[in-house]
Amino acid sequence: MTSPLAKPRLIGLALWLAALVAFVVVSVETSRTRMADELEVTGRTLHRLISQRVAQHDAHLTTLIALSSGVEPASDGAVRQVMESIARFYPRIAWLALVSLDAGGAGADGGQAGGGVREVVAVPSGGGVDLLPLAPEMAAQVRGRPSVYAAGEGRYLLAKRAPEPSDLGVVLLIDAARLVEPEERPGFAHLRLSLDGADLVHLPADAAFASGVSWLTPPHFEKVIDGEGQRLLLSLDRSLPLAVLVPPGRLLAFAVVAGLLAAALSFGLSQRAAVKRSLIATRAAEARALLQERETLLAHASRVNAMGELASGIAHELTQPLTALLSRSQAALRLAGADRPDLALISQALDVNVREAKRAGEMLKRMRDYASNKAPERARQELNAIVAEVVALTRTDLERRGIALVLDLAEPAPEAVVDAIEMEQVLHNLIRNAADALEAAGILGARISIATKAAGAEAKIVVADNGPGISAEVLPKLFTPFFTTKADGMGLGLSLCQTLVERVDGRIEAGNAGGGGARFVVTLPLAGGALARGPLAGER
Amino acid sequence: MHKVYLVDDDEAVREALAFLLSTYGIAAETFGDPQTFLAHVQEDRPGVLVVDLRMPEVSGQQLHQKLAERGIDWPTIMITGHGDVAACRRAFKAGIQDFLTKPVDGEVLVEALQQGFASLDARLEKREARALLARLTEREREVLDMVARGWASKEVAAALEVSVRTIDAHRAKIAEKLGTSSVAEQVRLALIS
Repeated sequence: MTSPLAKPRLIGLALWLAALVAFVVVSVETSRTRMADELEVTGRTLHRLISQRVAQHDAHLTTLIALSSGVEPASDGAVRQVMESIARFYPRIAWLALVSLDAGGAGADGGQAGGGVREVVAVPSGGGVDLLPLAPEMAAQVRGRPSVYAAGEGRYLLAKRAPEPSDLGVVLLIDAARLVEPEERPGFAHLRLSLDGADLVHLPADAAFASGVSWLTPPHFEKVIDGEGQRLLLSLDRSLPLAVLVPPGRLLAFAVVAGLLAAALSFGLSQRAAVKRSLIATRAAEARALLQERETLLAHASRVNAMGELASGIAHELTQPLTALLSRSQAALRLAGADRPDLALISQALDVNVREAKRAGEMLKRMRDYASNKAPERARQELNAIVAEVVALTRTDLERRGIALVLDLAEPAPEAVVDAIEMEQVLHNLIRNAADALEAAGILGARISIATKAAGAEAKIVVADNGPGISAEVLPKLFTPFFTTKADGMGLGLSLCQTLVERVDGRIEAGNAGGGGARFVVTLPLAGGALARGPLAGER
Repeated sequence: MHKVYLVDDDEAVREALAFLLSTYGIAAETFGDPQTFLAHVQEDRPGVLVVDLRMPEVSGQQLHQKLAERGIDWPTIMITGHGDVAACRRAFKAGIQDFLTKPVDGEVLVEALQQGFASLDARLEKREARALLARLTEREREVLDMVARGWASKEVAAALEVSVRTIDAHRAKIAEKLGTSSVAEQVRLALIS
């Protein structure tokens, strides 16, 4: 079973989830873009800084070459002094050396053919690397242009040869790691400097940024540092941790805000739906009330109309008690006027008169009730009593028309929750129709039988006659409004009966009795037997 | 005083009317329906009928007819709940004594009854006269008619071409059969029949 409130709630929940998904997507996208941009900016900055530094190395090389092998070469001591000064200011230059590349193996410690290398000045002395394996390459390098050699342990050598005829060269050992100052190191990225494909520097990202989601391509920055022969490749990699892409705090805050909005929306929707439902219900109730009011009016008009038909019978019904009253009163008067009035007899007569007057009053009340247009009032009623009332109203009329009335009332009387007057009207209508049919057919020994019975949870009132019955073509149209077989009929009687019976959750069926004649059955829900008598639940 | 037969399907009406009539010293026998009355009625207990026009099964009108079929022509006063002109006309044509509408005034009813009693007396007398006259032979009747015209025996004898003695013998027979030797009484009987 779906609660009427479920829909707005579902809508609210769906909107909330959609908002969360949208938030995550947008957040991931903007974060990723921002992180990539950040990486790019950092990368460019680092590239610029490293390029500048690398360019400085070349400047140092040039300075030292010029100093050591110029037109007026400086003394070794002066060269050392400059070197020391450089080493002091540039800690990344781990070692500086002025070397002599002996082509003929004239070195003091040499004798080796194919070129040797001899340190002339080294700062710090003895702290460098063994240049001997590099000698052939150094000897082969173009003068005036720096060459780079891997030196292991994150270092590389930068060498430059002095112009002809000098056999001198200057070598710088660069600690690549120190090309990036500690404060410049981006904690969020994995930084690498590589030389000819071999890593020189490898600075991993901080632990918080070490790993990221696998479903997004992480931003990557790569740029070659082309500083006079030092072809270093700077690359930055940034992983995308989920916590950065979608910051949990913001997600939570958004979820809360969106949840509140969705709840408000769902509340609004449900309020609107409730208002709409109640509006629809109100309108339906109004329409029902209007219809019921019209039906009640029609029922009343129909009763007043029927009253006219009953008038002569009712007049007779009233004439009887009046006749008795008048006669007895006159008799009493005569007795009172006698010489010795028989008071006992007089008061007895008056007693009877009082009873008689009440009997007349009851008939008048019955008429008044039947013709009244007070609002229908449902209450528990004995069906036998309803039948008795209708019989009292119609008896004389039927007698006059030579129609016998046969009653077969169940005992104990079945009870139903109905409006007594309206149910009387239904019966009266059925009796009237039967009487009209009997009269029109000129049946001898015309008879109308009325029976009440209880069957299961239902109470039935059966009105049957021994007339010609209902023809097959009339039967299906019987309860259709304005359908009539009578010359002066409106065709509303049975349709009204149906309305009145259905109002109290009953039904009315028409058919022909086994032995001929029409048979109408009014079925009503039987009022529970265990309950006390009298008006009770059922009023709406 | 004759009886009153009251036929009405309403017990209260029957009882009240009988009570009212009793104060006038008129005895009324009441019946709830025409059939009971028809079963009960005896020709030798004549009375005036007070009958409700409209009753189930057999109406007052029909009762009147059924009684007539049985040779009972007692005066009938029809009472009805409503003054239906057509019913009233039919009733009078059928020889109804009176036609009263309910509620019936006591005085009016008693007056109608008294007329009814007189009428009943007359009818009974007439019936009696007829019965007596029926005992006469044709010749005796002829003689009586002539006597009634005031003729003397001699004139009658001349007219009938018989002797005066024969006529006298007829007249003696007539007196014997009618139970009276008074000529005036004999003539009255002849006239009312």
